[in-house]
Amino acid sequence: MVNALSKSWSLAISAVFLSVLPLVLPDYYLYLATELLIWALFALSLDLLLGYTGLPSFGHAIFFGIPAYAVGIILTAGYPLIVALLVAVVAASLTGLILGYLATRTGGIGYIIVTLLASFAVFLIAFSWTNLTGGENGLYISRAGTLAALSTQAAYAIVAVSTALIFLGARWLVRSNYGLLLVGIKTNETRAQAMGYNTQLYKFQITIVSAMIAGVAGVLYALLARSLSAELVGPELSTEAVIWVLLGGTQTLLGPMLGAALFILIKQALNTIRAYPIFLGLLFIVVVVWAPSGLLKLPKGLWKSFRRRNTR
Amino acid sequence: MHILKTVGVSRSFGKFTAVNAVDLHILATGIHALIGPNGAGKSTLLNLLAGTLPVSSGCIYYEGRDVTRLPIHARARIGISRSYQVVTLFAGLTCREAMQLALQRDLSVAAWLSPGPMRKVREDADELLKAVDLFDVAEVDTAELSHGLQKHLEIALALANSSRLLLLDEPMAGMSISERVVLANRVRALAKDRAIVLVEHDIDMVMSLADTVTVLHNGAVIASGDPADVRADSMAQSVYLQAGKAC
Repeated sequence: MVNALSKSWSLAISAVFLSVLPLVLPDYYLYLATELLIWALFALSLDLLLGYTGLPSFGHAIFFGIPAYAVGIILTAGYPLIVALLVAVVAASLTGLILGYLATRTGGIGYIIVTLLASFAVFLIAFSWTNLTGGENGLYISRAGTLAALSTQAAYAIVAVSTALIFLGARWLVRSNYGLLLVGIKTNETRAQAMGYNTQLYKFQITIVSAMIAGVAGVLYALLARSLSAELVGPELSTEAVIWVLLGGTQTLLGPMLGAALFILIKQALNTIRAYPIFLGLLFIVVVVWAPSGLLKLPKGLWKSFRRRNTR
Repeated sequence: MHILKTVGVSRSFGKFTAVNAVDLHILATGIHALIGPNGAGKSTLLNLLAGTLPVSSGCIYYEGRDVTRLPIHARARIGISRSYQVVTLFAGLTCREAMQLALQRDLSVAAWLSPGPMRKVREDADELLKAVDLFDVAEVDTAELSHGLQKHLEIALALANSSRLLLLDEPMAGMSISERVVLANRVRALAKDRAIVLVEHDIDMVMSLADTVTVLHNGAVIASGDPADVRADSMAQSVYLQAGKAC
């Protein structure tokens, strides 16, 4: 009961927070907030695999970067936005189908290796296929027809509404009996199979759902930032996303979203210091040691230990 | 009437033959026990029947249908359920959630996502938990149950979808005497309208519980029949005396 109440409270607070931001933030910070929402959406998509289904995807950037490139390449070739979006949807589903098929055929460590190597491979392709992706120089999308052509407020609104709707959809999914099965597969796949579930099929399905959400994030990013580089499909972003999810707290949806925003903010604040990765590393160690279930569950844990001390 | 038949079922691991040309006939009701010393191939045979392991050769027929190549989840859907020697349920899920998971299997993905059917599954889960006296622990994490209750829940889960063949791998292992008696009575009652195949070390328990006993030795069947006949069989005697010592 208290739990349900605190959950709807956190939803209401998030909604109010997101609607107030464009009223109070200057353009530069609002742009930053828009970008953070996109990364949060990407983190959410990874939580569906890593947090709920126990699939350690270490190549998740592929699902973000390929649709982003698809939009960039088609727009740069002079086609209208609608064509670019359609191609991005096709690219996202194909990527999900192929990688999902390959990765779910293996389990545990195999899944990590397949996804991580795929991320390396796609990174190398994006980096060296200069005619298509701009290679080392990257791909620049001209302003017309992108989110950058709109006001900062309008771009923010589009991204915030998409993120909120997808969040609500994902929340509904993980709270349904489908979500229950996903957690069942995570905790005991053998038994789920013995119960009569073709777990391979459901792991494949959720990989595609996750790929589509990551693809939406990638497309929004392409349309907002308009500058694409091979890092967007690479292993660095892939592994960083895993850290966001662990930092915020797996299997919570909201936690990984906050984890992504926090991590990127700290990174931006510290990047004038050359040794900034050390601080991010320290933060990660602190979380792993003192809040192993992630930052989102830290207040609850503290509150519990506080109450225990007081009732004693 | 037989619910399950195996014809010359074998399973090898490299050069070692764990199960050797076993012909098994399981009746549609009653308890069929598999006994034999350690390493006789009892658990391997059970895994072959459930589909946990593929056979090396031979055929398995369930209700007249060849299920030899059917994966475990497909066999579960046509009514073959199993329990495990070491009970590991769904850590992090409550008993109610585990029961929902068992019950929702035959519904569509659309139903899993719809509020109406979701509520129905939840209510059915509570009903079933009440029926097996587990409703008090509905909200408890399955990993936090006592060993006896876990075993109890495991069997309830296996039965949730009215399976017609229940494969129990050493259900009595690690249980106290009183827990054993409760479980034996429950298995006895369940066997009235379904087939139960039981792998068990406790020879006395098996002899009093089972309707049919098959004795395995080095992967092969050396005797099969009702407990009294098997007890009289001189070859089976030498083997299960050995097993008796091992326990």
